[in-house]
Amino acid sequence: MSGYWELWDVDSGNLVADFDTESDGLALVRELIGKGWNASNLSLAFEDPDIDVDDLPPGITGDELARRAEDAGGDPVRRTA
Amino acid sequence: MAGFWEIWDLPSRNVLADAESEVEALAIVREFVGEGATYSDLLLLFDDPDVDVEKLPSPVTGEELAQRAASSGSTTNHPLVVPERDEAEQGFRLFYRIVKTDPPTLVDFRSGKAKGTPEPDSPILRAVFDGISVFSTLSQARRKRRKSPALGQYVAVLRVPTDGSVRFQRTFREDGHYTIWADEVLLRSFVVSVIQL
Repeated sequence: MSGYWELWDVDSGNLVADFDTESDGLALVRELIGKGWNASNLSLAFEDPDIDVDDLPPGITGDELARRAEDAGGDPVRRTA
Repeated sequence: MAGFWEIWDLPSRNVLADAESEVEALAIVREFVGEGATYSDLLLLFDDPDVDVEKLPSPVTGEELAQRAASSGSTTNHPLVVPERDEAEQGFRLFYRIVKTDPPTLVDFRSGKAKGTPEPDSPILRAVFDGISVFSTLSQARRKRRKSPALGQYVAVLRVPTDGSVRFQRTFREDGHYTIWADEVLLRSFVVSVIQL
């Protein structure tokens, strides 16, 4: 099985979505931050069940995630809250 | 009702997993040991509510469990004499939910929607937004927690009825990931044990 990206709401402990590409994930991050989500509650991470966790890149969260989402989208993330 | 196998953690007196067969249960035992558990801390037992307790085989732990786990996959020299069975505990199945506290609070079983978090635009994502994430096995929950420690440092074992009164469904690509839709009070009532990771 090939890898994919996951977006978790670490505050509620629930998986929000998965994606084929990081850019798809960052697009949803932009949408959610625009709706008022706190980027610190989001964690975007690459997952591949065939790879040991220690060999996977760490998830991105908080300011770094918000910054990367902005960079990927061109326009600054609009925050409503 | 058919019987089933259970793996218990002796120090915490928590049930860790159940299985449909001895072979499957021993595979789970080996997995736990591979993750740092010791055979002396684990107890493997067979249970069948329709069989008198005195007629059930004795639980196995320690060196005997280690020997049985090692020989599993090949012909065992000392099989437990138990009734045939077809499935895990009939009428229920176990799910594993990563939680932040022990004992878990209602918040540990609250969906994004119930928390009042704004919903995603996608109807597909909204369809699971009022449910909670759980895993089919403890190992899958452990892996996810290793990947994302912020999710919590405990796993709550939920014993969920399979009579249709509670809706659950396999969701997303994540190995063993399910979504359960139920009220947080009901979900917390399903907790049978909590394991520190």
